[in-house]
Amino acid sequence: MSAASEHKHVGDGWGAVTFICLTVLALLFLAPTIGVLLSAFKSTRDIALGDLWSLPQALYLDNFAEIFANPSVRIYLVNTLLVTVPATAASIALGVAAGYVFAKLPFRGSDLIFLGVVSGMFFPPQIILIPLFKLFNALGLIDTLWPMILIHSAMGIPICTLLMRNFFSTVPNALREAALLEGVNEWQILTRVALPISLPALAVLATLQFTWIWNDFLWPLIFTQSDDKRTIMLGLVSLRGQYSVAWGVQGALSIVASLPTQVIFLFFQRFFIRGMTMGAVKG
Amino acid sequence: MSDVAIEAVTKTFGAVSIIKGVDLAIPTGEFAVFVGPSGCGKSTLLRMISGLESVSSGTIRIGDVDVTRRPPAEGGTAMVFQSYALYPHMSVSENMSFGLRMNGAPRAEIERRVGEAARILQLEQLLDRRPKQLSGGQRQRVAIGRAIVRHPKVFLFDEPLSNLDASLRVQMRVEIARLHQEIGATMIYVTHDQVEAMTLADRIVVLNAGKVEQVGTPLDLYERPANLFVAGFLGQPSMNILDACVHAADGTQVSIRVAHGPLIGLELAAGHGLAAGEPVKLGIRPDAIRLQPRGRGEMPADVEIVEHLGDEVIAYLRLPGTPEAIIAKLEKSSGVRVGDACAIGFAVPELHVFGTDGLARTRLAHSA
Amino acid sequence: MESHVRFWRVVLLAPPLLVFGLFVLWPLADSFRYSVTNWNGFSADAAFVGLENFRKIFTDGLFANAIVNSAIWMAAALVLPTGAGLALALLLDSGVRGAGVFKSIFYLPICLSSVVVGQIWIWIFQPDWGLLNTALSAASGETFGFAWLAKPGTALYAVIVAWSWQQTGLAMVIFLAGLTAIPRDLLEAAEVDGVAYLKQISHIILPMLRPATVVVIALSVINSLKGFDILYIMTGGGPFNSSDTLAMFMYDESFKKYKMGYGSAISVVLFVITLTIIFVYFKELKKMDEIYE
Repeated sequence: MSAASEHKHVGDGWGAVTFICLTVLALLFLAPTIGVLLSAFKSTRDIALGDLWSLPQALYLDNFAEIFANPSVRIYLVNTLLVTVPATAASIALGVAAGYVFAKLPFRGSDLIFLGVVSGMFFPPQIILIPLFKLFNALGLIDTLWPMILIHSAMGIPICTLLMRNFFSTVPNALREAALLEGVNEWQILTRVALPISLPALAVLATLQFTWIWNDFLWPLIFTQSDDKRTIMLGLVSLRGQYSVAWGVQGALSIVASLPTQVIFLFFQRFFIRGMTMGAVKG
Repeated sequence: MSDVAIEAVTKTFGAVSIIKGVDLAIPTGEFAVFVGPSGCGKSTLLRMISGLESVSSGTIRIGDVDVTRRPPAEGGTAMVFQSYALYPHMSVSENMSFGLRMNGAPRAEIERRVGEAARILQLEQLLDRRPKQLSGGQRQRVAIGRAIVRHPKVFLFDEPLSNLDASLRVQMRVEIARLHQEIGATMIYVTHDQVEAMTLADRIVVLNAGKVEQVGTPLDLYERPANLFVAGFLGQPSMNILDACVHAADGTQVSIRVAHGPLIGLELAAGHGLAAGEPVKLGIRPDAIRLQPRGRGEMPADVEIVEHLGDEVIAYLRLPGTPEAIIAKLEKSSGVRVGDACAIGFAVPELHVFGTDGLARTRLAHSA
Repeated sequence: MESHVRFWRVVLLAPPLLVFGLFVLWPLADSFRYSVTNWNGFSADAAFVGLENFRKIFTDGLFANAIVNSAIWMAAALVLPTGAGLALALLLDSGVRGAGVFKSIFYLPICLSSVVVGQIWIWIFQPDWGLLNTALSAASGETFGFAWLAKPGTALYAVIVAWSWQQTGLAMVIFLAGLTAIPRDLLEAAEVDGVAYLKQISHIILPMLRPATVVVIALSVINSLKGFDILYIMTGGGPFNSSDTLAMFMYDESFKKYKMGYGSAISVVLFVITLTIIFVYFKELKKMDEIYE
């Protein structure tokens, strides 16, 4: 990432010290996660006997079997996908449209509107909780997946607009002008020129939005009541009662619930980090 | 193919005025070059012709069509950008055909036009490459090809060669000249490079601070600059400008005394408006200066610096006891050396006279 | 040209602004409207009560409690993720072997759901076999059975630790990005001049990291105000409201006690606090831009 390997102090023993420090810190940092991983492969009895922190003797998969036998879990996962995929796509599409205008078709006062939209990502969602509850109540959409889809599409607009505007700003104006002179309309410029060269930014946004929406807890907590409308994170909490002392099952459940985002993180880690830092630094 | 007519065109950004009233007519098939220092408005004027920049007042016509308020694509112009502006994710042929494809041209027509452009520019072997895989010169050829494909009425070039290195620039310059001969379309070319302007142009338009200073053939402008700005801007090294004073004026016969120098008599066209005692400027190109042994010439000078350019020599001369320096372009056989004490001789027919208003006074051909 | 541009501006900007306006801006304005009513969340009518809710807020001991807890959380946010993230970034930037792997490890928690993070840390703090008590028992030789999350004195701090664990990775990558932006020749010049590494840190690196630090601190503070999920999972604001924050308090009053008018008033207070922080943050960023351009 950086050219830090040129530092001289690495050669003279500091390197080893740094490495050991980081290893110890990393182990400490990983301990909570390792704990969950271990528990998922242990029986409740083993855990209660205080045997959580040892490596399992044999591969014990009953916890996972228990989860997949539970029809609710399947419903939760499907619901989460039904919310996450459309909301991710919609928020990115809206951010692309707004970002394009702010970067390539600015007008008097557009910077101010941009700032207003972007600062939306800093506010705690509690601020609009009650009015949204009232709104969706009036629309008769409580206890459906719609509120989550719509709210995440809207709440994703600030970060998507920010990243897309910043990326579109790096696309030379001459490309747009060359296309305009050829009689290509603005929509074709956006979809055939600007978007194809913005694939990296789209990848960043897709990973960020997918992860955040998948992991969300607050909105389903407010807007869903029946079990078959819950998303996985809410399901995780509601199943806590059912498996109150079945720690192993809870561990396995946590793992299953986190798996999609972890897989995305593994494959798109660079995009993810770039998105977080871009969003943060430019914000 | 068409003529371009620009009438009383202005451009303002808020209180700043970039183009301050330009009138210009470019006949069909002409290669016109806009030249001027950076910030003179030449690129803005070009972009206004293309429709990319809005026109504050005045009209622009291409052919018989008023394109002043038309969207860029409807003016029938094609532009080649300094940065090439190639679509990085498309191949060479996709780049050239993009506009046609988006406007639903028939496939056979697209293929025919792309093939034709590729032939003219020798791009046939590169059609499947991406811009990244091309050299700077090849990219610029693709950008030109993209313009050709449109069969535009007018080609617009916005400093197309300034991203290329020196040798490539010369080569592309020749190619653009060849292209103009081959397709004969009207071309407008913006550059800050006077060599490009002199070599490519049928007519040069010299712009300064949002106004046209002079329009004419390269030779016209070089030999008969209309004012001090054009005189100083064209030619390398620049024309020497000497302070002088009208000694006597009798009809068309005027004698002028050069400061620290000789009295020169010449004949100016009627209406020069110069009177005795009035200060004027005398311009003389470095290659019109002759060095003579001290004592015979009228204007003593010391050689301060000598630059050998191979086929010729540039000498920097100082008039003793004055801060004035004069540049002379001499043949390499002149044998001039630093420290030489010499005298400056003028080829009087090549002197230019400018009044205090900065405008040139026309010389009469048979003047002595 | 202009009319064509205007057309596409409207076509492209209308949908995002409409969605944003409908689901974010309008509700925000609505919050202000409800904050002067006694709406209960169900009834069709709500009476206008003026500033009564705000008067109540400033005499409500639970609100004071929530404000204090939010302030504690915010103070911790200034120190914990920021300090840990900076330390990790400096260690990682020294060219250590395996920096990429370490980075992933420290970054991993940020993409875990707060629900899962809360779950994980419940286990750490679990009295009987949790990692913390197991470690303490092993270290002290005595059996440790302290219920961290069930005691008013420790519950809030336990949640803050868990939250910081999750936030550290974010601080780290921002600092790393800041470190990468420091021109290498600056450090090499110092190296040539014989400046020791520790002095390089305090005299060159830290001053150059100021923009990154501003970002990290602002984000941590803002995120601390957003902290809800993890609190809900780990303590629910308890025991006896000892870990209640503004966000939690607002949720309880609105969705447990159905005092939506009162809850809206709390939202308004939350909004004003956040707005103040953002304002300071943007101003600071602008100053940074001028200095470090």
